[in-house]
Amino acid sequence: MDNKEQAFTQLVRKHKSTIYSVCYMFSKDTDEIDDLFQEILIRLWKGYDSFRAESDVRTWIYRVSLNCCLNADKKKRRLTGNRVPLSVDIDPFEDTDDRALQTKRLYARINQLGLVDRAIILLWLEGLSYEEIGSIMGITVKNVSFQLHRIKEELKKSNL
Amino acid sequence: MNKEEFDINQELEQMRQDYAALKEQFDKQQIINEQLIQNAMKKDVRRLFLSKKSIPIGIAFAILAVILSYVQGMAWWLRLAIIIFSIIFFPGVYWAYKGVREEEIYNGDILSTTEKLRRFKKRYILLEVGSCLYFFAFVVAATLFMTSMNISAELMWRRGILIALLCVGTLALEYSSAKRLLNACDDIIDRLKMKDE
Repeated sequence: MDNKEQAFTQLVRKHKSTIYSVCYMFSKDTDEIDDLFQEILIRLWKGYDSFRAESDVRTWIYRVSLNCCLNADKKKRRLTGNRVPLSVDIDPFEDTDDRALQTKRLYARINQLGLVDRAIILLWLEGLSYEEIGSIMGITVKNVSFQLHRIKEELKKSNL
Repeated sequence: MNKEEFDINQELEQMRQDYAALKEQFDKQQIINEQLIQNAMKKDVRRLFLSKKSIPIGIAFAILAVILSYVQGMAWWLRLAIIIFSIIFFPGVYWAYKGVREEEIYNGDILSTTEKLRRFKKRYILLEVGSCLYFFAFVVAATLFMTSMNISAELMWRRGILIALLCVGTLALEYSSAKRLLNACDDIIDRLKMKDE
């Protein structure tokens, strides 16, 4: 394994849960999550050379991951003509304690949102700044603030 | 801050904490193994676009077709049709692909990537429709030519109609799937541009 491959492997290991979380937000089918994860890794590797000139690795990973997930969803819409149905079968906590229930509820709420809203709220939940969210989504900080306010309102309407 | 606002903020904060706990669980899991990363580094990407190799191969075929048309002594209009197609189609492919690099397309932000993909798809469809129409016109011209030479006119017309139906069918299918894809892109673009415009 050469230096580039080693560096990439380390990078993927470090950010695996971030990538997995994004996949998990956009699908709850285990096979589909695996496919998405694999596709993101391939895209990250393909774009690795062009990324290295840039600075923030986390922002890049979110960009590639979200682009992959949104594009995969577009392809499905293209095939089925419908929004991808998100199952609630995956439970990362095998037990049924309060936290597990809260997590399931959290995902059920988020998955009610549209694709863009889901991406924005995911970045917000990750604790990214408005500047970082804007940079990933390609919108202004003011717009991020507006979008988040709107999403929160939408979540409120869905009887949070 | 009224009670309702306080409740939503509290709930959102709770969501954030739940999310952090979930990520912590993911962190503890292995998720990936060496093989998975190795595969990703070796595997070819699921293609959005034509392979880069297909363009020089296509050009080589076009050149070969022109050479063969001379060698075989094809009719001048047939040769002309091949040359016109080559002149229009390959710059068309370049035009469709302009500004889109497969390797780094997903490195960009969501809005610009979606806009690029939308532009690419739109141009690609136009190119496809153009090619189909050109092919159809070519078949009609060939049929008329054969008919004028009294070469089983009825058979040629039947074939012409069949090819026309295939062209229309292909276009209808492509249009229907592309429309959904373009609409999906529009949804994302409209949503993201909501405040900025």
